[in-house]
Amino acid sequence: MNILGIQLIGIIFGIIFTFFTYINIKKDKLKVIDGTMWIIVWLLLTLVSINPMIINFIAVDIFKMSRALDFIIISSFMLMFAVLYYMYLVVKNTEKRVETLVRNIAIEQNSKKQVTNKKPKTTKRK
Amino acid sequence: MKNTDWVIMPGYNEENHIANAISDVLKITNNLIVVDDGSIDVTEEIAKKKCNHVLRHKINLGKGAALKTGVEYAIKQGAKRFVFIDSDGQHEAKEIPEFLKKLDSGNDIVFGYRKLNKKMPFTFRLGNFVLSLVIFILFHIKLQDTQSGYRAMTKEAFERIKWKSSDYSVESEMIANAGKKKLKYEEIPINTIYHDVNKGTTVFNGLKIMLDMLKHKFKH
Repeated sequence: MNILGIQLIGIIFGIIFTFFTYINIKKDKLKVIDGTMWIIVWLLLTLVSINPMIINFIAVDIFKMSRALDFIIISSFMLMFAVLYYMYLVVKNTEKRVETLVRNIAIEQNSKKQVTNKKPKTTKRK
Repeated sequence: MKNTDWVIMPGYNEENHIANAISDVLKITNNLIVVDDGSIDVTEEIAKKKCNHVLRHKINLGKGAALKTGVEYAIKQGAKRFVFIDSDGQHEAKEIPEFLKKLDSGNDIVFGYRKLNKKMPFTFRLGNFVLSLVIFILFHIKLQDTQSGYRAMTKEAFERIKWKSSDYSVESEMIANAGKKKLKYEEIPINTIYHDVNKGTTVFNGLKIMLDMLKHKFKH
C-alpha cells in the first residue's frame, strides 16, 4: 500500500496526540472519560489517514453525500459547536463558583474582623 | 429606625462620592454596610475611615452580587429589613425613613421612583417608559421607575425573591421575582441628584434588560 506524505503526517499527528492524551490522563490533568473521548478522536484521525477511503464509504454510501469533503466539513462544524457549547457551560459554571467564593470571602473576612474587635482587652494588674 | 433595619450600599470606583454618601446615611443610622465591589480606586479605604462594616469583593462581580453579599452579611448581624442605596450620592439618605414607613404598612418591598424632571436625560426617560411597559405586560407590576436602585425589603421578601443576577440586571430581576411571587409592593417618589450625565443605563443595556425580562418570565 502506497502511503502519501500527507497521510504519514496525519498518522504521526494521531499517534503523538494519542500518546500526549494518555500521559495527561496518567498525570491526572485530564479525566479518564474526557481523555478517552479525545483518544477516540485521535485514533479515528489515524485510521482515516491510513485508509482515506473510509470517509468516502461513510459519506457517499451511508450518508448519500456527493463528496467526502462535504461530510468532513459538516461533521467538523458539528463537533466544533458541540465543544463550544460544552465550554460555554463550563465557563458559566465557573463564573457562578467564583462569584460564590468571592462573596463568601468578603463576608468571612469582615465577620472575623468583627469578632476580633469584640474580644475584651485584657489588662495587667499593677 | 429599629436595630434590625440595615442600609446596604454597594459601590464600585466611587472614591469621588462615597464619603458624602456614607456621611449622609450615618446621620440617619449607624447600621450601614458598604460593599466595595472590587474597586480599583480608593473607595474601600475611604469607606473604612467612616463605616464599621465594609466588605470587599476581591474582584468586580457586579451590583447584584454586591447586594447579595450585603444582605447575607446583614442577616448575620440580625437584620430583618434592608434599604438599598447607591453609593454615587444620587440618593438622599433622609428618605430612608420613608421607605421603612411603607414597610411598616405591611408592604414586602418598596421601590423608589425618580420624579421626572428636565434634568433627567431624555434617553433615560424614554428607556424607563419602555421598560415599565414591558414589565407591566410581563409581570403585572406597575412601576414608574424600574431601574432605580433605591429600594427596601423585608428579610422574608428577600428569601422569596433571592436573585441570581450578579450585574445591574438585578434591578429588573427583583421586580420580575416580586411579580411572580405576588409580593405586596408600593412605590414612593425620591429626589435624584445627577452627577455624571453619561453614567447609567445605555440603550444597549436597556435592550439587554428587556431580553432578561423575557428570560425571567419563562424561568421557574
